[in-house]
Amino acid sequence: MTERSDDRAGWRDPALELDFAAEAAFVEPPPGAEDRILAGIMAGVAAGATIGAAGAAGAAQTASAAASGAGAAGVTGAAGGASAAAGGATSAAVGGAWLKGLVLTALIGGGTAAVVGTTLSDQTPQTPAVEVVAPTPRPPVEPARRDEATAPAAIDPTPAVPEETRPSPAPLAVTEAPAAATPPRRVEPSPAPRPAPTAIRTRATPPEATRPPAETQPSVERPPAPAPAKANAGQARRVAAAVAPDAPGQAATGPGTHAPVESTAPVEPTAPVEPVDPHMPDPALKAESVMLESARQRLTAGDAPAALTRLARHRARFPDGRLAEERDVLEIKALIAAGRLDDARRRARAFVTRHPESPYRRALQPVLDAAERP
Amino acid sequence: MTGSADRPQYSDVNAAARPEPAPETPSLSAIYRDNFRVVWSTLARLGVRRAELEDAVQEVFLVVHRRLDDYDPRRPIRPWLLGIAYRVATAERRRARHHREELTDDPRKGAIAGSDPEGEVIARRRAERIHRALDTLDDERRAVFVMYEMQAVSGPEIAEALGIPVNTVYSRLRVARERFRRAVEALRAKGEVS
Repeated sequence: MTERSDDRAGWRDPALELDFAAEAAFVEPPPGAEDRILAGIMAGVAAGATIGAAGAAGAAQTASAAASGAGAAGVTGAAGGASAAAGGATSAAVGGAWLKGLVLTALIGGGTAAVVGTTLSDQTPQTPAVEVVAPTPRPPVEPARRDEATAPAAIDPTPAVPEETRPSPAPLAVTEAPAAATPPRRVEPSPAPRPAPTAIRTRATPPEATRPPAETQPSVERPPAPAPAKANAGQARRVAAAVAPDAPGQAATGPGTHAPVESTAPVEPTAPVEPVDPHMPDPALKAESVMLESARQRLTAGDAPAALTRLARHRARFPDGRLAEERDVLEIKALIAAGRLDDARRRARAFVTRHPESPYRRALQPVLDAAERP
Repeated sequence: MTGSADRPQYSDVNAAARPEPAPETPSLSAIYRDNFRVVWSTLARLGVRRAELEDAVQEVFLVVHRRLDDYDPRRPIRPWLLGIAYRVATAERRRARHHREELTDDPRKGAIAGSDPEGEVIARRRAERIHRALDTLDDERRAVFVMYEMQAVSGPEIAEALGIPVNTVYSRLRVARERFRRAVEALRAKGEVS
């Protein structure tokens, strides 16, 4: 009850005549919150240490994204092969040797990338979007801003920054592209990805071929599962889908979330904060999904450390939660984005061992493969 | 402030004038343990929605961690901390507004647990009304009001936290009180619990 003792037990202005005690109870943190948040903070601190200030990470990401031709890189990466997909995800963010090859491929050109991307995806609808992607290197400017911002994530009023910058983390790159193509739509300066359904959709959808249909008919299945066929292309796509921050988020958000694993795709990755649908009666599940969605958003915004801290909190609170798998996959993705490749691989390996049957397994394969290459 | 650390060691006078070596900067976890509740309640009172509270608290301490070097351990930590909390809260509110998220309709469900369900409901309503009234204030006045009236922070400390003149603190406080009171009355008039 530190708070009570710190706070006065009443209003300074007696004329207010309000029930201070009730209000104090109202703002009392729930049990467990203190330790849980501390766990998250420490995870964030650890992540920050690796990355330097979160801003630095952002800068690196953006920079590389820009250098490699923005979104195109992501797409091309996917084209390159399964591992490429992983690279795409990691894309700019990381700088692992294994990635470089991918990046080079990506560099080939936006046009090529687009084509490849198209090829990769089974879905036709995507083509247009991809083409649009024109690899206009986005100004790495944003990162700088982040550095300065006291609080990389929260404080910066425009954390999410321009949509273009955001995608840098990885597979998003692909998504990004479309956005660039259709600038008018994205007018909204919304800091967080979520607000404008349009924007979000654009961003989220394109990455994986699988997604577009989902948009239309929410009943579509989760991304990872669908891609059994082609080796590289399939895998790449899948990775994008599964590893992409969206996947987990979606899972979390989706009404179909009941089945933890299966849940992935149905709903728009967008509707996070109010994942509150009647279909989700379980408050714990809802809490889980909110937490994961929050993490996903941070990741989408290019703030991997913040995403990791949120994921750590999820783990602290729901070690064996219904969305534990989604969390783990999202975390692997975040680790990649944060440049912690070794950790990502370790986690990926552990994940596969732990969940040999997981639909995410294939999605992670590229990460595992990449790990083999020194 | 005295720059004593830079002074040459051979100055006895100087050493004597210095009661004790500059205090060590507290560790992040120590700061966290000491201030978690204050930060939590401050953020809640500044309007951070329940669903975002944990994130916001975390954000505050991550900023603390990042800027620990800037903190002068000889100074009280609270204004510094509250300043960070204020910035995090306003950024969060701006973000939420942007997303057209409902700012006021959020049950910042505090843990009002007990064996008196009716009493709890009433207490809850009262608390919610207070928060709804707070929501009618703009961020700046709300911050002054919350810190002064609810967190027992002094005027000068608030000035330091918010980086504004003390006089401004009091003038904002005056206006905030007036508006707050009016808002409370309006809400009461709406025929709710009293």
